[in-house]
Amino acid sequence: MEVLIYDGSFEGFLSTVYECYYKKYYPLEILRREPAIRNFIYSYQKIATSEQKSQKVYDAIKIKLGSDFLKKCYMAHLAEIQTENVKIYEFIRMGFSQGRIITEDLTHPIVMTVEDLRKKVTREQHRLLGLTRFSILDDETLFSVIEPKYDVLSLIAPHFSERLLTERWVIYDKKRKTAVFGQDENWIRKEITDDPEVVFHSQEEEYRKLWRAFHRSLAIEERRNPKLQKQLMPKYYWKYLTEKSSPPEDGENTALQ
Amino acid sequence: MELHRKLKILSDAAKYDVSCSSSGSKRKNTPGGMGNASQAGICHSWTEDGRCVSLLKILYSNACIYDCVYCTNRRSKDRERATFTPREVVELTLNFYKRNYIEGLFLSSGVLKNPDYTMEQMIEVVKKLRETNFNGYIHLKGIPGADPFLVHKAGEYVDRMSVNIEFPSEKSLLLLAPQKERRGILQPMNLLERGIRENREEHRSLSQKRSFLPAGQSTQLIVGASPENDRTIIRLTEGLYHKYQLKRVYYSAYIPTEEHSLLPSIQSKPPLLREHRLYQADWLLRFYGFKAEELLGESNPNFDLNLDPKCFWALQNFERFPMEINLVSYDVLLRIPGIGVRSAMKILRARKIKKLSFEDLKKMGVVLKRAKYFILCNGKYHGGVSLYPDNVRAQLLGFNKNQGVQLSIFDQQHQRILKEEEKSKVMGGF
Repeated sequence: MEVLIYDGSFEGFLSTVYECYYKKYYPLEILRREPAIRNFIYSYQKIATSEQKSQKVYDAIKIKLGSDFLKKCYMAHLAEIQTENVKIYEFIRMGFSQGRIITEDLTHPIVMTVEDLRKKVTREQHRLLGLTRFSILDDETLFSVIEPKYDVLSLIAPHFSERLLTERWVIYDKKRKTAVFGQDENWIRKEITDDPEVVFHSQEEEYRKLWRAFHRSLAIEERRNPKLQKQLMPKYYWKYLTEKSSPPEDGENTALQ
Repeated sequence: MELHRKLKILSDAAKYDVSCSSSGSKRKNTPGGMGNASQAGICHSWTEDGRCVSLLKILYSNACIYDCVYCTNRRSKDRERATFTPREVVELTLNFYKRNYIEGLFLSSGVLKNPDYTMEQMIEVVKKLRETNFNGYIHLKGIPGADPFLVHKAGEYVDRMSVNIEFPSEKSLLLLAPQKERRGILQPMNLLERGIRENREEHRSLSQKRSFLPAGQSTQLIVGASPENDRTIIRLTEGLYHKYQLKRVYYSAYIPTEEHSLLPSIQSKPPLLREHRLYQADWLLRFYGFKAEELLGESNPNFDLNLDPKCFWALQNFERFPMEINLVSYDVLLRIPGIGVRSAMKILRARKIKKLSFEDLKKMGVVLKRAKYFILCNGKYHGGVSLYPDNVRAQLLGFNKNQGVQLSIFDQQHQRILKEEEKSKVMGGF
């Protein structure tokens, strides 16, 4: 009854897959970090992340099962749901034993789980391309705070990098204390210990007001449907949305006559 | 006038234009530039009415010289008028874009002085934007009656253009928008279609690439302000897709703003449900291989508001059902009520592994509420009622009325609408 613990990174996870194959572990669980309490009936094993081992598994999946398969595993892993890690591992094992055709077996519980995780992550990735809000800082840097459910930061960074070629920009994932910094077509991901302190540009508030005014006047009263709004844009994300984060100012809510 | 005030007036005036799509263009960023277009489109927010906000949707001006009776910006209506300057629109667009509020600009306008002048001002805006190296999405309205040369010129700067047809027949157009001519609408459409086609051919032969409306053109029809039936609208739509290669036809339920003898009374509710049924039918035309003639024949020219158009069709062609889910081709799967493009693809994939049972479909997340009356899984029928169209119709209507929970987000919207209004009111007075 093996429980394996790795460092939470995808490389760490692939290293764990390597160990499972070569040391013949049949893990009960694969945990991202040390559990609060160890259960004495299980034996715990810490897996060190190895670049060499993870690369081997990475290449093996890519060559034998294809890059779509690899991407599925990567995306599912970003969901960071540790009870499901072992299913991603099972998925890889199934792939190696039965071939890439298993991805079509949409009624198989393991395949369904991985597909479901991938879908959740992809959906949030796409959602945040729209819902990320930048503020312009005193030094013209574009600064954004997000708290995504899944670790999509590295997935959305290339999109903004491509778009904001000439800008300096930062997206800070407050939940994971991690940020991406972008400038001149490049971006890097770094962990941060404290929330950064920022000073906004003098025009920032003005544009926020304009945006709120625009957003409000766009709604058609006869079609009012706040439930549908919440369904499409869950309240979870409202905290950092310029148009939702502060109450309407005086007079802003009154419709034009 | 203060920018804040202008923005309020000119976005309020633009909100009845329903299109807000930012998809279909692959415009890339340029060195030193700002922005690009996303092929799939990106929604940046949703308004209180549940509509997606993707573009900065504004009028350039609402000081319109025309007096179309249905329009909230018509000359004779007493309301505050405003006109942007090109610079103001450029600054707003860039600043909203940088903050990731929007995917780009949707610029429309009332007719200021005359159609040509209006078109020139709008071209000035988009030209300025592109000169600042802005590569985000731009949707520009073509002004009916403007010089074709100007309309064509605008197409070189933007991703999509649209000329609104507004009324599904020439008679209604004459009656309700006497200053717009049918020719003034169809001519620019024709011209843009040719422009897109020529540009495509040019791309094949030349290495030098010049863009012309990469996201094509679209149009809008107002539903419920004039007496045309669904059949007329759907046939017109089909013609537009074929003849003018439109990317989208939008439908806008008419919302009465004032009493007028030619229009539904001010008390009538906008026909939102009818609008929704038309969108569903539009989808069937574009993605499901249906023809307008199949959906609505001469004898039944309107959809049943209580049934989605595919159910409506299936009940009338009941002899084709039930269909064996493990045998029929993709095109045929798409004809089963409740089975959409995604479910059909899933079924095709999963069929490679094994024969699918009803339980398997459930597990895969195929919506069976409607489909179960029309399918066989390994020869078994799971509908639970005998196979007569009247029985099935009763079942379909029954679950529409009694159970609030449905899987489609849109269907929840109807539940609400249906509860609030009686059917006759939904029809908007016709």
